[in-house]
Amino acid sequence: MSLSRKGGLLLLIPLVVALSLVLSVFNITTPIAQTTPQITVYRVTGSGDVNNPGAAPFWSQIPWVNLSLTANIPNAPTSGLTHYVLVKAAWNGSWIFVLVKWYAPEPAFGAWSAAAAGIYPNAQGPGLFRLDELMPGTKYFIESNYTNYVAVVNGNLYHGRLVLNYSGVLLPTPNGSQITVLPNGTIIFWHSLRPMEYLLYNYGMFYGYYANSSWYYPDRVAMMWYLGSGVPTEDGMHIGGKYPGQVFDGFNFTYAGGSLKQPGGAANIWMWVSGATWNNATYDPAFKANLWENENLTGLPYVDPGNHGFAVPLYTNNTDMYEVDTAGVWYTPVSSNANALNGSLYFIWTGAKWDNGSWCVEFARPMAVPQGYLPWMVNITTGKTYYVAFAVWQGRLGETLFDKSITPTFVQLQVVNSSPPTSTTSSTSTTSPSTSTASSSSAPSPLSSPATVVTIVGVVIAVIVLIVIYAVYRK
Amino acid sequence: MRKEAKPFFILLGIGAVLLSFYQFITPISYLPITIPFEDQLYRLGFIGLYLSTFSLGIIGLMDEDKSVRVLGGLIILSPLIALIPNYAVSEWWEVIEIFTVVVGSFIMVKSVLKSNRLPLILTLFVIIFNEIEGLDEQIFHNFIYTSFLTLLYLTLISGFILLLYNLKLKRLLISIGLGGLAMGIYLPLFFLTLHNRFLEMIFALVFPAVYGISISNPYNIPLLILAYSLALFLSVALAVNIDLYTGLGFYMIETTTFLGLTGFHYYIYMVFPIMGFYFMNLKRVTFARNWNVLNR
Repeated sequence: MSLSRKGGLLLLIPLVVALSLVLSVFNITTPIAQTTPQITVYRVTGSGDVNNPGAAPFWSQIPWVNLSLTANIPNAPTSGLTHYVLVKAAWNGSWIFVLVKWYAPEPAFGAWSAAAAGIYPNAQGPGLFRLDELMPGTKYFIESNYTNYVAVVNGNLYHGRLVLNYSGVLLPTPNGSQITVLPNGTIIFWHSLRPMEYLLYNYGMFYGYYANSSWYYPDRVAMMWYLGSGVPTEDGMHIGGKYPGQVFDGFNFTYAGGSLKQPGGAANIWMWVSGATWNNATYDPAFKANLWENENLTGLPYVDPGNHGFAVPLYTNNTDMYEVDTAGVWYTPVSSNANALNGSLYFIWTGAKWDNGSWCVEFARPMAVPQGYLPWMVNITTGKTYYVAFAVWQGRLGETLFDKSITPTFVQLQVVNSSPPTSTTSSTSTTSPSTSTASSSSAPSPLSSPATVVTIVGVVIAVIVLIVIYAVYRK
Repeated sequence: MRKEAKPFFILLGIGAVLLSFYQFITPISYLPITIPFEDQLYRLGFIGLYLSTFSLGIIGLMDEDKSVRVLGGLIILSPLIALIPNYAVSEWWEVIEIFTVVVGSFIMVKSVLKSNRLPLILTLFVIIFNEIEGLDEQIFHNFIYTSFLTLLYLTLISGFILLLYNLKLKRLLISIGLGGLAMGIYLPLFFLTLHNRFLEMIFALVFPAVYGISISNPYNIPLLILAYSLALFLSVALAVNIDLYTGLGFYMIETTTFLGLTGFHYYIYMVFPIMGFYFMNLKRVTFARNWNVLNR
């Protein structure tokens, strides 16, 4: 090797080190190439139909994207009951439409969302509050030294502090704690509070939320839009207290439950709840009670003019989870500025139907958001890459709050100007406008899928390059 | 491998270790654990990300094998590719990802046949499986549920057999001693989690986030920690007993090969296990030859 070449190589070393240092100091957030996004939002003509999700003609031209889900709380055996969610998306120049479908063999019809029930005094029915089923093998005893404490076990009042014991791990419970011990020894913890759930989970005692044929929770689906900069790696949320820094029964909670894990990040969430935001007066008790048309109950200075279904707009950051309106039915209101947030609760329209064992929910929202919503709601434009995530709850099977299935990571979504690939064909027959539409898609040829074509092209190019290299190498 | 590449291997080694800080700090900073010097460690990890990319790219470009040079070129170009708007949503980028895996698989198969380190075929299987799994998730959006813990242990078995390729007793004992020290980083966590459900759950959050492995049975967390303790042991022991490139390669594989399961996130995570495997096979060492040496 010549001296000059050796010198050049040696010069490369400080150059590499210096370049790495400089780029790190300036905190370039997307330094190295990322991998491929998953969801493409195609340009379509026409509009979605929230009264009949998935029925708009353009949907048949857009292929489903199958996103795997995982348990949000892997240590609770009842979590993560939905294994995948199907997603497709479109925009028509001013509105974006997102169609989400998932297998749900036991829909949670008629269950109140606890938050919605909280503002409606006459609410009654399943799902009014949460019951925790403790891990099999969890025992309890009453610590009588706590003379100021009482506990309720199977309806009987005891003086003393209820202490739970799982594999030698002891968890003293708050004053007034109440449990029911089922004949098989299973312990049900009543009047579950968020910090208590955190403690139960972290002490290995949280088996899942208790559900049976008459006690269950609403079904839910949520779509999260990342609002921070850079590439987020964590789409999960903290399990924690009611608010950050809460001191609960001697335990200090750094994080509020629902606050975003991604350091420095924030996100806008669109949450559809079968027991509150589903425009179905038969199966959604909140719509049955006409809850959202009653300003006195909601505390909002507006009603939903179309009385359509909606998705609750939420905002989460590292501090807490907020509701993007001034009422705060589910979470703390993000702001008290009623003028800025006028109409915000009903801004994201939804339509839903349960058919043939699956839920299908269509989200529809203007691409641009009013200025007053902007800090907390995602403004959607073409050409930009967004990071989104999904969560699904099967309320009938005991999933609610932090017990859910989520996409393991954020997936990338991009709004493009191109039309759908028209790779699928479908035949649709409507039987009833709002509850069920039988839809079937004939399976497209595997070769017509863009992903398959891309794969084949990649493999072919690689093989050609290797053959060329081999040919040159031999010489 | 060219001799002039050695300084870049040193940079790569430093980069790979610093990259581990990045892998650790990013996901666990949300946990209720106070990490001393968190910001500084994060910054160091960031430096590791760049150092690894640039040095790995240069090593690839300097290699005698032309297909490795192609991969090296792609690694060097990857930071520049990131400047092209919307590159990541384009189909040509998907083609490059598939191209990388196909060429990478070819490089790995060729290298193991050349080195004759046949126990590494187990590791090769795991890497290729994970690369395909990652691509499947990226492009077809499916997730192949399988026992990733089993796959991890397969790579460890492979590493242990390779460790015995050099049976010179003194060197083997030194390598085991030094490997034991490295193992000490994680091994206490194994004992802590064995009987402490709380810590077991904390690390059930940490380890899958850092290394990409989601285990289906949460009670297997001690086994996962034990596996990574053994991986650290083998990285050092192989570096001492076999050669430095083998140890470095093994470390690169163990720390990144399962990240495809969460979608890779970075292109560098896609090529790290491929290049790591290539480094493990840079030298030809056969068990039989050393066995004869021992019997002489």
